[in-house]
Amino acid sequence: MIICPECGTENPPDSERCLNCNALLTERALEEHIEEQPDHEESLDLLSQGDHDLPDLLHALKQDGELPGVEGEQEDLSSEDVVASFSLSELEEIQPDEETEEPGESPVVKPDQMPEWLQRIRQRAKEETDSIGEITQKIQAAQESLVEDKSSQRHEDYSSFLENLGETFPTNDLEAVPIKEVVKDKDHALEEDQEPDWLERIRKAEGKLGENEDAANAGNRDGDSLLQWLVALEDGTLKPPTADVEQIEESLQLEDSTQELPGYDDSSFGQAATQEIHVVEPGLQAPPLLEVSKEEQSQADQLSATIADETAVRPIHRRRRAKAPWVLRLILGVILITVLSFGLFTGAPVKSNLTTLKPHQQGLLSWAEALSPDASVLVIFDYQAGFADEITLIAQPVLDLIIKPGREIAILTSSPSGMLLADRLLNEVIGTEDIILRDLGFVPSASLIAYSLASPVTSEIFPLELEAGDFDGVLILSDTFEDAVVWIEQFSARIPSIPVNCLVTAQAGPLLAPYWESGQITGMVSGISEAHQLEAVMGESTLVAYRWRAYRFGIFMMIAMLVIGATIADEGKREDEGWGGA
Amino acid sequence: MNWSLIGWIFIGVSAILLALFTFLFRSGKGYPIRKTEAVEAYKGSQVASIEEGRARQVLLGESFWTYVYPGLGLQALTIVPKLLDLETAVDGGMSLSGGDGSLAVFARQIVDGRYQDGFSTKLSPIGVRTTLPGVTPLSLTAGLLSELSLRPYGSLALLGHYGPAALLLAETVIDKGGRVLGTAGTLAAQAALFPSIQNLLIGEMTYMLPGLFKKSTGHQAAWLTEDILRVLLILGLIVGAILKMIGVL
Amino acid sequence: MKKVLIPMIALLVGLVTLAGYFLPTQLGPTLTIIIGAGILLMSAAGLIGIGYLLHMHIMKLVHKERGGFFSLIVLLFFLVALIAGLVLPPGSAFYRDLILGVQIPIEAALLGVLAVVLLVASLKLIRTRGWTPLSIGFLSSALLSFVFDLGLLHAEPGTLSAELLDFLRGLPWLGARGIILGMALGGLIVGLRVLFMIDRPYGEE
Repeated sequence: MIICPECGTENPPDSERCLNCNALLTERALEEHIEEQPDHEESLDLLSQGDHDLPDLLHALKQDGELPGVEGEQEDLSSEDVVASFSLSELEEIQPDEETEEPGESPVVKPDQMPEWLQRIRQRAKEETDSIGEITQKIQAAQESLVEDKSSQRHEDYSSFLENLGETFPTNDLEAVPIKEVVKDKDHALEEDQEPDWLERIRKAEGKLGENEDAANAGNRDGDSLLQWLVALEDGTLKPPTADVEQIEESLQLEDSTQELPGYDDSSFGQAATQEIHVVEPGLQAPPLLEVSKEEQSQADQLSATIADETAVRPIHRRRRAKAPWVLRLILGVILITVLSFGLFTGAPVKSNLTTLKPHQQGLLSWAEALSPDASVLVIFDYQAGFADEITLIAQPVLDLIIKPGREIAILTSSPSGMLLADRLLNEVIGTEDIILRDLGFVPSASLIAYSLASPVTSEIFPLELEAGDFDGVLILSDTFEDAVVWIEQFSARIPSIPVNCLVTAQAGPLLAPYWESGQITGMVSGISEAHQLEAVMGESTLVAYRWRAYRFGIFMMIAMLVIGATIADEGKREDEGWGGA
Repeated sequence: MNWSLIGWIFIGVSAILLALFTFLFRSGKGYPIRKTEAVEAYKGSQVASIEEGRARQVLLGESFWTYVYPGLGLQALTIVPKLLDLETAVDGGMSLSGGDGSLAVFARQIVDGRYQDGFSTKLSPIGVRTTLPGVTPLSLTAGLLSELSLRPYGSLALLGHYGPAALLLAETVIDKGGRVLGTAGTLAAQAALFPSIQNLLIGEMTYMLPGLFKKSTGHQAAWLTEDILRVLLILGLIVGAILKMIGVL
Repeated sequence: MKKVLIPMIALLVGLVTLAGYFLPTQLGPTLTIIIGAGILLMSAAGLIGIGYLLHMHIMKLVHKERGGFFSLIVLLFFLVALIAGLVLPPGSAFYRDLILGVQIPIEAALLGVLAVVLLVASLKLIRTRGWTPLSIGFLSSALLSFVFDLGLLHAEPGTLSAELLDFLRGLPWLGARGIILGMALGGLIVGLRVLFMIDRPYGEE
């Protein structure tokens, strides 16, 4: 039977091609094939073409010393030179017909006839355990690279296995461990058909063995038994191990025959780039097991799911932005300006029919009217420039009542531009009247000054050289509830007898209402609407009436926007923003 | 017995509860964290902004200390270290803005404190910037508005004490595709921001913010203390209202 | 040591200030010093703020960042205002008109823009927030406040209508008081956390 070098299938002796994989079987067919495909390389053929022509033993010689018959530098010897260095007479001494079933057997060559290089090789082989040839070394390396994902442990095991092979079975006795139950007796030579091409080429490169040279003669060289075993391994006649490698080490016993294990596909053995090396051990049936805990499995599953999720195709989420939001603002802004302008510049001022004021407005009015002719009033300017016009509208009628000749007006501010705003407002109110004005300046911290003003003076050194008792009343002009509260709480807590009044914007008024209800402030006017009411009751006509109409139009617009927005809303959230918060 | 004494008792109880819970939580389990979607959305916007290469802006408020909301400025500064993670420091796209010199200086100290461990601004000039666009509320808004208009910002966090003009800042960032997180500023600011931004924390929710970014035993103790005080306050209000109705008070 | 010393100083000053409410006569001189130091500190903080502002604009010019032209304008006008303020006498009408003539229109314009933005925001209230109890409460409160602010609804004082109108007018502000109470509570806890050194935001973890 001819064993196919590719797939290991047994074929009839007269078949030229393998019945299974159609590979060439006969030597002639192989030779022809080689000639047709001179560049064909086997997977394990890691040797260069030059190296192919150079047997491993010759390599060893090259490494050890000079080659016989070669003069001069031997570093750059070509394969032809090396081959030529051998004398045919020396090679003829090798009996070609010698059987090589037992690769470990040394050739039957008389010691005195043995060429010197062969003597050296054999001597070396005896002395050094790692004296396997370079080809064999490369075969080993290639096989190691073919092992998938079991590199280190398996490699170690494999190497130790090889070493154990070398130890257990000396080269004389080592026989190519057959995978199949093909027992080869000593008289049975290795068929040339089972040899790979590279081995053929090596032997051809020797050139002197001849075509009829039995390939087994190559086994005359030391290490050939191991080489043959490795060749058999390459040919796929060996089966992979089916048990744990540790078990393999422990039970490593090579027998003459091993059982062929099912499932091992060696069709590509020797041809593919990688191959799986299996070492078959008797009695080992179960495949190697990898123990994975549940937690590790779940983590691995989670990782797989995450990777799959990340690589999954998803539609690109683009934030849904309002197209040209400035257009809506522009349109609404134009409408607002138009409406307010209409209210400001057209028609007659709105006349209020009110005759009574709200209690907090009345309180302020009463206080202002009750001031003595020589009263001293502290006026605090705590508003920003943007609210200057609104504060002016609110404060002007009240200041007209308060600022009279003979009265002392003290000005204090905690706003950076407060003094300038106070100057502007008072100039509009006072005009050319002789008023005593005390400019107390700017203080950076309202709370500290309020606290100090409200506390009794016990030292001559005092920030402002005055105390709250110097005043008959305090008038706070503020645009925010927070700024007004500072003064209110300090004065009302420390000196509750001093009347505190507020002239504030519409946004601050409602929040200050509790302070009026608790009696902490005497009176308050907030916003244009209350200023309009105050003026109506006082009988004065100012620009507040026109502003009041425009203000009402603006409020109408806000109400309309709220209602329209609630009516046409798509009942959804803005998707380009996250949903959260209050 | 007067009302101010009741206030002192309230403060004393708060201090005792806070110390007690801080000690307990350090040795045992803590208080459950209330997950806020606004904060989660903001964290996501931070990551998205870094990935997209967009800048981020954090407004620390108009002033460090105010009489009515005394803790807001300090609260904003407390949140800043939680925002300064490694990616933020290296990315260099974050700006901390404030309207008060105290805020700017403290923020700068916090940012520099992150770089004390061998980091030098000379090696890497980019980093977290601290700016002061304006010294008054409206000038702060105007200055920051021009800054936000120059390039697209990925996120804007409104912390601390600020007025309704912050709505302009929020709308500018939203129009350019950014996300806004608003915490309680003034009442007027909350009212102005409510219709426009979704991620708005109203009222005392803003004081939970540092713990929501990065929890600690101190924050958890503060949450529990605040919850207990809130319940006591509610009970006190109900009792006071009932007593007022029946004529006792 | 520094970690403990600074909070201890803050605590001590706070306690003395608080004690000044109860013992004003005894602690008067101490309070004067504390208040003076506080005002000085606040003023320094304000100057630092101005310096920070200038530094920011100068850096923008130096690094040639976007908006550098506007920073140049800011710096120029700052110099003009500074020089004019130092040269001109206090209360100068020219100086007042120079500053307020720019500041008032700019801030008023900003508030006008805010009004328009608020108008647009009121249009998108439900779209942004959806029909939640909070948004419905906000919507109804806003409508109520606007209606009352129109001044169309009047009632004689002392009548039931007046009482009802006052009640409805004050209803939205009940929630505001609740918010203020909650924020006061939170501020109290924040202060206690810093005083007890539970929270140290200044670069320490």
